[in-house]
Amino acid sequence: MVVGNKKQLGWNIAFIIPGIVLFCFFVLYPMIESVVQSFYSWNGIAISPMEFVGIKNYKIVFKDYHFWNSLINVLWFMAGGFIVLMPLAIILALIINKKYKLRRFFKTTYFIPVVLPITAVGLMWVYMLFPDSGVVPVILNWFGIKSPNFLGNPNWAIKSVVLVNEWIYAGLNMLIFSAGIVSIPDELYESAQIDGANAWQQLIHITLPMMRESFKIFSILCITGCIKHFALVYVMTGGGPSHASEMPTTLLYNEAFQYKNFGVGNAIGVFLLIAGVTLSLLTNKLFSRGEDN
Amino acid sequence: MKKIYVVIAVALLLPAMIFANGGKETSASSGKNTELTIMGSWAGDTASAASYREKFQEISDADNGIHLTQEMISDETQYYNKLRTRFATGEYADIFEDYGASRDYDYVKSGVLVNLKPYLDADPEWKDSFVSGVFDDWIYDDYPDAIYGIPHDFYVVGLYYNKAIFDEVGVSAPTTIEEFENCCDKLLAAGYIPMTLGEKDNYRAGHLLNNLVLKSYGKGFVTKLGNREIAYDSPEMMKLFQMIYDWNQKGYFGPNAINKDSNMEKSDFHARKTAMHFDGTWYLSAAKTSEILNDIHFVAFPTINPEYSGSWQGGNNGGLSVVNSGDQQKIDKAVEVIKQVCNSDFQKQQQILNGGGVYPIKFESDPSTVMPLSVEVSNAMATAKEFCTDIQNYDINTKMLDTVRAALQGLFVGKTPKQCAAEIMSVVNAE
Repeated sequence: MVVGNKKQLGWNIAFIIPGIVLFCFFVLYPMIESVVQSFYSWNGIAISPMEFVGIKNYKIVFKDYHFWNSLINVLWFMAGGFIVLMPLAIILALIINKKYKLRRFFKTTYFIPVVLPITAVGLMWVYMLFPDSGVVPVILNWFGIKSPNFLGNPNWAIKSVVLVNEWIYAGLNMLIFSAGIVSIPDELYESAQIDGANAWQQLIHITLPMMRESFKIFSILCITGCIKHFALVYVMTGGGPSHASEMPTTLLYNEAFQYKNFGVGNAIGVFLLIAGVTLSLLTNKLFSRGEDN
Repeated sequence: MKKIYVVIAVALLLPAMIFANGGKETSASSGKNTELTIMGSWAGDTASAASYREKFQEISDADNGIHLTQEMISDETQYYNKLRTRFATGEYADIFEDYGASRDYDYVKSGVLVNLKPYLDADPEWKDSFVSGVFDDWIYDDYPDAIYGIPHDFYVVGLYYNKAIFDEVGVSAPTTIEEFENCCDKLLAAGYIPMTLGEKDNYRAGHLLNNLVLKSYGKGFVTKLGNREIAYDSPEMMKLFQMIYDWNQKGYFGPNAINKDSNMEKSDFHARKTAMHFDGTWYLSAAKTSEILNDIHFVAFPTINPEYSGSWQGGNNGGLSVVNSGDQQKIDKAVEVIKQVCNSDFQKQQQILNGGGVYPIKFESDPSTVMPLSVEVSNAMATAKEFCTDIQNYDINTKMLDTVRAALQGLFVGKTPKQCAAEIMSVVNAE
């Protein structure tokens, strides 16, 4: 909300304009172009005309069973996010918010995977998960557990990538939840202690409810991140074996850059855009409704 | 008021900072030099790749009115990403490397490539220096009187084997598929992986299928497969999918074919874990530096149908095309550049650097510079009657190469031959 006199308003607008201009050029315009191109067939050569085909590209996408399989893989990512990543990030956040000597060291260590290049991390895990000779199968073997072919077995490929993804982003989400924990007034914990609440009760009745905003941020980031996830899958499995770990983004990439079907690629992109926006709004509404209650 | 001047200055500077691009030349020629860009795969550390880059630099530095900017990317995926992005944005490279056939058909149809036949016809000595038939992948049925690329490399695929292991196990180089299977069984019994396959790179099974098709049915079958006279779920193709499936089940390719890539496959061969390695002549440069070079020998891919024993996977391994920039001077200079690498002298130099290999241009080899292994390859190749590159290069659907390769990968992760064929046919039926 803009307050102050007209001169102040002028300054405010002047400082907002560059951001708006950048947003229009680098986000809005490409988005609109993408939507428009999704109704055309184009072979990816600049001088070739684009042929209007209506919803044909969307029909091709929705008839492709690899596309529906890729949406299931997105659900696996979401499941990993809410079932594995969220509890892990909360536990790490609770750990780093305790007062002890090596707190800073652990905080930094947990965050390191976030800053490593995704390509390097992906390749590292490919070798760590290699059957028989990789670190993970060797350790499992010590405990008498026969390890599956993590990246070569179609039933395990996407799950393995999901777990690696949680390892990478645990540190980032730890900070999101940590910010929520830090914002909780100490008086609430003091009052609870006086009333006889133990650590677990304080966690359930004070910490988690007061972190509502952090959960909302995590949920929206998780959902949108899962929908548009590309790099780790591409590096670790390439969408294989035999399309088993395909994501909508890898399909988009293949359609556009391998098969030169830019129209179909854009159709997938538009679907992802609509899905991402819809799910974000729904998540926001869900949390807002909870606040009202 | 001073503040408003600051705001105006920032507002004016911002677009300049964002959109300034260093004053890119828009005219074809700047001063004396014609500015050309060449895209290719010669980015690696091999002597051959370095010699290409040096040659292009030499062309650029010479007083010939050409300034050549090189964009070299050795990784095939990244190369095609950049190439296709350039085509999509209209910022074409003037000269680029590709394989012709279906890969470049869209460019030909769009009129974006230059017909190089007039340049070949104008220089009969140059034209006649090429081996017969090497231009085939750049001649299209819809444009019969045109040639859209000049080949710079050639290849054949065959079977390299470790003779020391063979002697130890008591087997000899297989010439038929029955001998191959017997050989594999004996190698397995002796504790060796018969022929590691790095199927994480799905082109490996793709090349295997190429050879099985050619040795079973010949090149004519490939054309029929490509124009849908014969289906991918026909009994002929099902037999070959079953063959690959059975071989994997028996362990011929090793226990973890799906996890190994082509580099790991070569490592297994060099580490003596596997006795056979089927590959193209590009493997010769890797063999040259391996510890087991003296034990490596070569034989043609085993025959399935004796009638097609002379059908080999092989052909052009890359060529250079010129983009139609509309500037005749640029096009003429681009052809000059191509002539300087696609000639007998330069190709002979490549043979010396690679220690052998096969080339699309005729020249007199210096035997002292060629590896004995390369001589074996040349001698085996002398029995070939026809060459065929990836069979999907002759397909009407440009998606078929990736479709078939991805489907074949399924045979290594529990999918049946029937499922493999069904996956391919789902794409065919959607055409």
